[in-house]
Amino acid sequence: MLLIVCPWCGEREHSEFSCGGEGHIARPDPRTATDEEWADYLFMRQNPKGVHHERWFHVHGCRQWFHMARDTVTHEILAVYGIAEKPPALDGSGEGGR
Amino acid sequence: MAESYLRQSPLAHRGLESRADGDADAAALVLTERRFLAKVNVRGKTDPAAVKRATGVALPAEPNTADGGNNLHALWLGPAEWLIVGPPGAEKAVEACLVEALSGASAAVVDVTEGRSTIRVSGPMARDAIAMGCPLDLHPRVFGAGRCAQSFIGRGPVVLHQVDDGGVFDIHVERSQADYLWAWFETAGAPYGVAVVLEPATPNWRRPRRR
Ligand SMILES: [Zn+2]
Repeated sequence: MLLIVCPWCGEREHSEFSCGGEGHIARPDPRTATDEEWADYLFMRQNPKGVHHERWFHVHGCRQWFHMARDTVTHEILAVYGIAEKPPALDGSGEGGR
Repeated sequence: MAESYLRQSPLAHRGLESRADGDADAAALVLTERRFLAKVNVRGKTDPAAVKRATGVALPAEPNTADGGNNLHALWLGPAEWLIVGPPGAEKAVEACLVEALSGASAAVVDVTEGRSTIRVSGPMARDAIAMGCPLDLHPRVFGAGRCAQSFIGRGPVVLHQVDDGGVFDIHVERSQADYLWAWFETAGAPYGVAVVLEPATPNWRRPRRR
């Protein structure tokens, strides 16, 4: 069980959230993308051992999306930041780049 | 235009009237159905001063807090979303006030009265009973009077609102889950003693006087 700090609601239990998978996936231009690029965009995801930037949804709370940098080995939440923001520098402060 | 119909409570089959003769002062947990409360959902870019003028209640800016005024409560649901709760029958008047106040704004005002039911939980066990099925930190230091939050109790999503310092909680729940939640509280409180209390009639809602 994780305790997740929602950018709006503060510390809430994992069970109130749902994970939206990998974040920061750029959508290629469908007019110019090759089949391979489009398939990569649709289906291929990273599965790192270590820091993973992912999207989360506070589904049973304020129903807002946000980003999280999480260590997939330790489950440590390294940063929580806005849905429109770029990944912050992970200096260990745990605060996202708001 | 929907045809008028006989509004029926999702708890009607429980016959709460016939159970409301228990000793509420001796009960650890007191359950009250707050029947047919008016509920209006507000979303978007709102002018807080205009809403306050029109309805008498302010839309709180601080997450997970509620404001009260003119017999209404406004509950923060999201960064641009609120639930306004009022006495039974007020929904159309409150909706009209808000539509007038927010005309021209990029906002939505929706009467959701039929969608949610409200159960009031009070008594000395109220906080502990809710905590049995709710992942929120309900310590009074964190969740006191005027706080509200969306979470779940048992398996049902709820909007929880602590109404006053006396440990009175209003729980707004999807109508279809009201019976489940009522049964859940009956079960949670059974070892300690549960009493059912009916809600006294409330006066009709009035829009604030124009100055
Ligand atoms: Zn939240």
